[in-house]
Amino acid sequence: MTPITRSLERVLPSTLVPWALALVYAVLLAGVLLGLGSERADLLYLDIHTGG
Amino acid sequence: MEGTNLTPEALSLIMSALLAVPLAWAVPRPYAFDAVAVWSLAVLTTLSPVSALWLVASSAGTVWTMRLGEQLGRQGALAAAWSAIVVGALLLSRQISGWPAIGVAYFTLRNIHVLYDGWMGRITPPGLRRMLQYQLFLPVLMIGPIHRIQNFSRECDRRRFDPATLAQAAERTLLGLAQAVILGEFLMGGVHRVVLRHMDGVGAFWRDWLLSALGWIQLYLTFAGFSSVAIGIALMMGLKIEENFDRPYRAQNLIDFWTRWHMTLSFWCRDYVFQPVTIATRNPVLGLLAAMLAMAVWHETSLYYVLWAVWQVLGIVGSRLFINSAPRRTAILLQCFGPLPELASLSRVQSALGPVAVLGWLSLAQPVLTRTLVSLS
Repeated sequence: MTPITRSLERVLPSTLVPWALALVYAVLLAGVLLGLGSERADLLYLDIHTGG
Repeated sequence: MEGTNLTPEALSLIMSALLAVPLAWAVPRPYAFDAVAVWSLAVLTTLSPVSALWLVASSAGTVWTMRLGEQLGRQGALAAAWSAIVVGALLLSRQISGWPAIGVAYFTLRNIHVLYDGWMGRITPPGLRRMLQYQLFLPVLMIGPIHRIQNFSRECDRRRFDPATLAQAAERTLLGLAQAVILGEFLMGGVHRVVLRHMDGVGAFWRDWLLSALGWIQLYLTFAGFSSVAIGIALMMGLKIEENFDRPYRAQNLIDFWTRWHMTLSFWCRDYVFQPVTIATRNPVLGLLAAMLAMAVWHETSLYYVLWAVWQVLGIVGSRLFINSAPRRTAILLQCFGPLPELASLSRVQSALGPVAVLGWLSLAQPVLTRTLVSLS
């Protein structure tokens, strides 16, 4: 069981957990894709900053 | 912090590392990490052929140096010579403009770790195959963690497919990405812009200090986030690698902070710089200065970072003096405030102020050191 599933099980009825989990993942993924599309998120930048 | 727009590369790196996951499970077990290494080499070659070539050459050099050292009975001298060569190459790579040196800082430290631990007899000198599997591990190639070969080998031997672990690892990868991109880049980028807009009437020094503090918070969110991505993808392949951050925002002092922040680098500096120098000189402050200089130069070869190392040493020595004087402070507080309940609440205040003091000292370096450099020049 993943940490997010555990957290959801504490606050929601078990029938809703898979739907809530899917929603959380969708929101996180959408946020990541939007952020990657609009901001300067880049591993290479971080690598250069840390002495790459 | 200067920004660049390399989003397609970031996406391709994450996607390439994710593609290595099915590869690690689809290929027969004895060859799984050979396949991952070949894939990693292909990806690195696409991004930076020189980095790929130097990674393979320096790793092979490390293995052969250890073998030759054993044959000649001069392990120490050869390990020192090869370490000097790989460090020299790292410093040289920064002088060549237009060469994207990808991951060189990381695999250089891994080479030295293997050399030194081999010389000290802490590990059995690895063969070329194991060394390349270790060095060409895509999830950690670009931003660490600086994992250790003994742990990597043990995890390779022990790993087994477990759907629950796979789900946890996938979730950690997603959460890491969300932390780095949504919180670190998007949210902190917005905070940075808002602060800049509303600081017209504030003095330059205070503005720089605040922006430096925001920079540290942003660096934590992005760096720890991408470290989680690396650790998560490695776990999806069945390997539990070293953690890189342990809630540094809870650090009570600078000594505590450097055992929680970029831990694999801090522990590398402790094991391969601080301890040898302290043993050789019998002076822990010199050991600390050498370790901080190594950490600073690893980040950037500049006078600013040399001063930054001295700044950190001052902070750590100050923290040590502060910790050592705790009993005397408690005695004075007991005299002033008397009963224990008041003292307990004071202790809580001190616990809450600790992380603020740490962030204050870390971020103060930027405005103070830049002004020092300007006045020196």
